Amino acid sequence: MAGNHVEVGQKRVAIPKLMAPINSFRGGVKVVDAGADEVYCAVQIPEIKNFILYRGQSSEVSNYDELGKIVTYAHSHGVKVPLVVNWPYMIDRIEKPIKKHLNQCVAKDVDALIIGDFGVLSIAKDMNLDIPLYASTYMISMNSATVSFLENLGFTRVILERQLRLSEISNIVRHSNIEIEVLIHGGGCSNINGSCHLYHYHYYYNIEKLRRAMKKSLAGTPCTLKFDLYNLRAANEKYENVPVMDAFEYCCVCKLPELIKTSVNSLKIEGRTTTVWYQVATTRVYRELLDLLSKRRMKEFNKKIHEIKQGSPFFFPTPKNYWSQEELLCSHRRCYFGSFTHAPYKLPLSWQTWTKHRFKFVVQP
Amino acid sequence: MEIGVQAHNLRMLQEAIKSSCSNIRFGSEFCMFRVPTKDQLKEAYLLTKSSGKEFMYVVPRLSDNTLTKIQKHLAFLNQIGTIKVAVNDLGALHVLNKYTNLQPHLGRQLVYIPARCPWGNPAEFNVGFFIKRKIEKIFYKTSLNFKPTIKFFKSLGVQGADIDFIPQCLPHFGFIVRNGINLSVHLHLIPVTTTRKCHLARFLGEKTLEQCSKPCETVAFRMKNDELGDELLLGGNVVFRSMMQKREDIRRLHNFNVSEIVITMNPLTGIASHQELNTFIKDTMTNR
Repeated sequence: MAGNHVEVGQKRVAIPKLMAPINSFRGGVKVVDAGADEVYCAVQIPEIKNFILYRGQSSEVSNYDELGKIVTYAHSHGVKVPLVVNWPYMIDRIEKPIKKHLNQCVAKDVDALIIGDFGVLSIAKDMNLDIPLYASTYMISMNSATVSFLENLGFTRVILERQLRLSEISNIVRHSNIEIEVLIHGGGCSNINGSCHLYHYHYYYNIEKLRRAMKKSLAGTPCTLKFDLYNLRAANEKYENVPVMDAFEYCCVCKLPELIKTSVNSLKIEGRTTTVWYQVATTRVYRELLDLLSKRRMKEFNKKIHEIKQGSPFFFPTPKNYWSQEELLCSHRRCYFGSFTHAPYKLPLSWQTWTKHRFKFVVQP
Repeated sequence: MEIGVQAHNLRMLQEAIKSSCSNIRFGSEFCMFRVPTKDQLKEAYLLTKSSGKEFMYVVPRLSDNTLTKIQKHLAFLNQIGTIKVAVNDLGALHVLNKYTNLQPHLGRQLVYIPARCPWGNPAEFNVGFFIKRKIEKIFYKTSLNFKPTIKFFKSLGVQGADIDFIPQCLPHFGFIVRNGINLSVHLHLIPVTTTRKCHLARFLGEKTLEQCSKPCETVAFRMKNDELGDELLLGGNVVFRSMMQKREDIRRLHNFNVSEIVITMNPLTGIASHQELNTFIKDTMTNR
């Protein structure tokens, strides 16, 4: 469906491509069939497979043969396969494995490399790989100057940081000559991805013993944890169980018309670590909604959005023992492009404390 | 080894000037909503210059709107003379190329260090001894421990970089210095994660970030989760972990030819006056 256009005011705007995550051939086939325009994946690098930062091995396709099968299937359906090589930093010790890895992947005919570090970029350039380069969110692109900088370095697409507003995205698209991609669904990062060191994999490993000892399950990611907060400047000021980092699963279904208006080129769904069901479900929902928008069937679009918000089981059949649709889409009734003050906790401050913080120039000497 | 002080506002800057530090950094390191006005920058520069200390302007990650504002600041500084600017944003680094008198210095957010993670290193995983050793060697390096990366940044005029004080990373600092990058090492606080949608402002009930009353200048919290066990610190839009330096560690910094150590004045470090700064500096110098 990529390449369709809609009229926005007096402008003709292209329907953005839909980019979906996969982590296996089985998933790849299903996601392609569900209507993705592009599928992105990573492949395990054998020599450094034990060195894990953000995600475990479950987020990666296990070998190059499987990647080859994915690429063949995707290409036969007109779907592109960008490869994630967004290693956040590069050092001598992993240079050789990365070079070998890039060669192997390019030989499998992947369509682009998603890169998140200047060291990896310099390796890719040294190797003279004839392949488009996409700048990962690890580059933390939050303004037009960054996009222009990355364009000068040879990137043909930039994936913007999640925390931008729609007006800012629109401004960046207006000033850029290359493709712009935005994240629309998934993970629930409340922090800037490229500078976050709350490695989920480490976290899981370190709390695993604790989890077993306590015989209970702990929160999904460290940024969803509840913390007791102690004011460092007032010994007796304490707030209990505050999910202060405010991470939540986000979706953008109802913001799709506005996102299209920004003229972004690609919409990306997160979820390489999730199940095939999730990858297919999200792809299918967004595909259906984008198709309705491209055909200007707004009435049906609004009806679907209403159904999603109501958690209608008819919109997409949810397997048993899995999240309900309500949890998959619009789960917290909060949008990622919404106001930052829509926190899931009530303000725990007493009115005296609030006044003190708010009018500190009055209270302080 | 010089001692620099990071001051976010004029009040802090005036305290820093009275102290025995040699360099003063002015500006916001992490929050685009705390960028000073041009008048404040002008005053900060003049005050620092008249005190004989070296001035560095610090720029956080930026949106298009804030970058426009920063460009006016850079144009002003460029007229004055040669000034170092610590940038934490690639767009700002790109823009700096236009200003011939300004020297780019990489901020902490443009240097990737996996060891900032608060949960130890991956060598604790269930893998064999030799693999553990191999992993450890990778984990404690930084994005500047790769010659092509250094070459790339030097091609943009970068001569120095900010880095965190993580004892296990110290042996790798030498490589960076030998390759022509002057290192400034931040003491006390390691930024674990940053956000634009400020966690502290939201918690304290700020309505919009544009009109934030900047509670982070006076309030900071210790974050504790019993299940997690680790203690983190919340200072504005950044979650830090604390790293208190030992005497021998400070001595080692000197051995690795680090050019500057940086002390931040904020509610988390508890350093707010020139007396506190002087006490800290005196202790640090004695340690050397």
